Amino acid sequence: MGKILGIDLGTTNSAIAVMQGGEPRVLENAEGARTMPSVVAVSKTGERLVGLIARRQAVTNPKNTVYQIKRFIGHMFDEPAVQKDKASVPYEIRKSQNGGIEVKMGDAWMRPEEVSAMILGKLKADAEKRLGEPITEAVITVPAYFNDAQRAATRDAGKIAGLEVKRIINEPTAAALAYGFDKKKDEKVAVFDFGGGTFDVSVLEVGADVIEVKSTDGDAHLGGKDIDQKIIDWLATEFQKESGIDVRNDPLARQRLDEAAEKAKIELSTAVDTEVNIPFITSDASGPRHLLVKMSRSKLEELTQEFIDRALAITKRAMEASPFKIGDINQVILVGGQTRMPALQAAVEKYFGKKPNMSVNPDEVVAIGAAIQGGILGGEVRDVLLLDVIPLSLGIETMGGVATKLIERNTTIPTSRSQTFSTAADNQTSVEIHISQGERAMASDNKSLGRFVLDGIPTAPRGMPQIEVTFDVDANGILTVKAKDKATNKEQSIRIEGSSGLGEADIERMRKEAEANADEDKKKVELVEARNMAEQAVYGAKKALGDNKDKIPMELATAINEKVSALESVKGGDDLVKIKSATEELSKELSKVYEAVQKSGGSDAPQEPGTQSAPEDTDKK
Amino acid sequence: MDDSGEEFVAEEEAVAGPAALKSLREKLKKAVAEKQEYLEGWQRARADLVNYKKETAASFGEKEERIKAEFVKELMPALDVLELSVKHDDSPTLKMLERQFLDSLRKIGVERFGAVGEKFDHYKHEALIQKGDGDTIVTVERSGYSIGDSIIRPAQVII
Repeated sequence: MGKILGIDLGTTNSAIAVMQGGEPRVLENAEGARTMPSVVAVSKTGERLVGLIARRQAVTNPKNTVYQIKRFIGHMFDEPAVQKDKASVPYEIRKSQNGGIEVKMGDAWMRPEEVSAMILGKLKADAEKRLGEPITEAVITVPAYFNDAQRAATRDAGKIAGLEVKRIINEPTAAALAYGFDKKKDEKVAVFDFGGGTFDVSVLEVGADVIEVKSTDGDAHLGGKDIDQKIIDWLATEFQKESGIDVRNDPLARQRLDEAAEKAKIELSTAVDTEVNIPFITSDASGPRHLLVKMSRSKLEELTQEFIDRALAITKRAMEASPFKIGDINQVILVGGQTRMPALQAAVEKYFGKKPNMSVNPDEVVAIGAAIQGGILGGEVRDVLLLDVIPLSLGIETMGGVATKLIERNTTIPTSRSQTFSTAADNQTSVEIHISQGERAMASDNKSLGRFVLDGIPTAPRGMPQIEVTFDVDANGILTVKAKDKATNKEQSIRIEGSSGLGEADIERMRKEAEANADEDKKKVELVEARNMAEQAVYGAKKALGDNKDKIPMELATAINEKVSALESVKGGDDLVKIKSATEELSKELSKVYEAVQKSGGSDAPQEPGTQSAPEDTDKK
Repeated sequence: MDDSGEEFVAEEEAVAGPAALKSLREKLKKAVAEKQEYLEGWQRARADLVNYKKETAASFGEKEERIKAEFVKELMPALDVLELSVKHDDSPTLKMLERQFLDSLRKIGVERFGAVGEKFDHYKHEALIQKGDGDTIVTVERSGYSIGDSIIRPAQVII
């Protein structure tokens, strides 16, 4: 069974998402964008165009470029709203034989569902291209106020596009799903959807397995476009004040004002003021003229106050129509790009008395919700498949008391990691595996989860045996640690249940401690590492002297012995610099041994023991 | 799940004969169905990961182009002003600056396009105004830019 495509079929823009690996993912279209204009055209050459490409040629082909078809789908021709909307679009609309609507594109008259099907068809093709597999099923969202005829027509559009529509769901419901509110019972959610051209507000009640729309209200002609228009007018007026030229009737200047207004609007969502800069906007007798206007956020807010007030008045109506009081609302979700505007957020927060939630991208939240609904229907989203993460890192104590992490915190479980360690001393026949949990660098500062001993390791020089340590955390968070000697296959393991056993507060405290002690911990580890290096150098020197007694000149042997005792006297101390320099001096002296051995023609040049690349040594038992 | 397994044995011991057999069969049927469902979910998750990896690998080259395209997008307002300035001002210095700019862009694979006399192509051009009846570009208001096969911005034209 293939994937079920989640489709947000919008009035101005559409978006698609699917479940992948149990997570929703918004798919980019063939043009590389995450949303697509809901525009369809038949070009002069008879080619069908959808999306961005259709919009680009709109002015050359206005009669055959259809946009905002969602306003007409499932309607009857004689409805007053249809008559009103009909006047504002450049394409031709007529009454069909059964009283419905038909729009003209190219030589053909098409039903709105056929036009919508063209949009859906392109979304389907883009998803198939992106995923590399055929898509035959979909979940499509519609506004909560859509009646049966509008829903049925949307379903038909899907069918025409070659999609089996598994379900039509309400846009606010999809938004609630995207936020995972379906898992919380008895939540009351308000969805505030300020889109490009329409405004909707819905009040939902989330019960066991159902999300019910309790009330919905809106304005089909209120959106981001109105705000853009206000900014354009203001900019044009400002320019006229300064230059005396009215650029409003110049289509080229309008186009550039349009872009500049949208850019300014977006910038003012994060900045408190911006500079609108349109060089060569027009020219007069004195030469080219440039528009340069400073715009502040407060100016924008002043210009758009009326729209915010209208949206809030509608929100109030929707609340009154619902069985809830404002205080009952647990969550407020923002949908639509325009809700990024701080003034709008502030107004919503003031009305509901709580911060609205917009942690999911407001342009994508509806498509994501549709994909999740698809996942639920396709059996891909199940409670048993909710994946957890481990809250704190897990590791073992290694030489010098260092905590060596095997699984980092925030790793998604179930998971399994292994690493090979070795012994710290010659002829060491057992290792102790001490499991530590936490972010601190030294094992003693972390929580100890348990320890066990792997013995029966055949005698060998230090660093030779290979002990493979495997950490496995299952879906329930149960940790199994296994140590295996690769030479003998002898193994030992421990199972630690409830490896967290820690409350939220403990975890938080441990993380904070790790942060606070990060510098000091780093120093400690550096010291331990320096000591380990010193240890290795001493070991190496003694071994080299022992192995090559006859080949090393007397003076060199004495010099090495001196350096060894010098290092041995400091390596137990806390002076990092001293340990490092003593180690370095010994290494330097030691390198002369190579030369001496080489000169004497000895083929058994000493191996430098304990090089950096050697596996880390486990703590000595 | 372990718990239900234990209960299940105890229950079977309490009921004897055909009833027990029937109940066992039902449980087996349920277990098989469940096994199948989980197996499918697991396979799907594995397949998703493999496919995602393939897709990521395939889009690696694409990503580099995209980063360049993002960068050029940021430069575009300045490029547009430069283009307009050259149009309005005959200064050789400006022209040289523009040429240098375009050379540098070409080196990273970015091309400027859009010329008067070309046929309107909705994949490359955005029509601002239709003046004549034909589909030939009469003015290029703002040049377009492309990288590889993708359009960073279409040329804005009058036809």
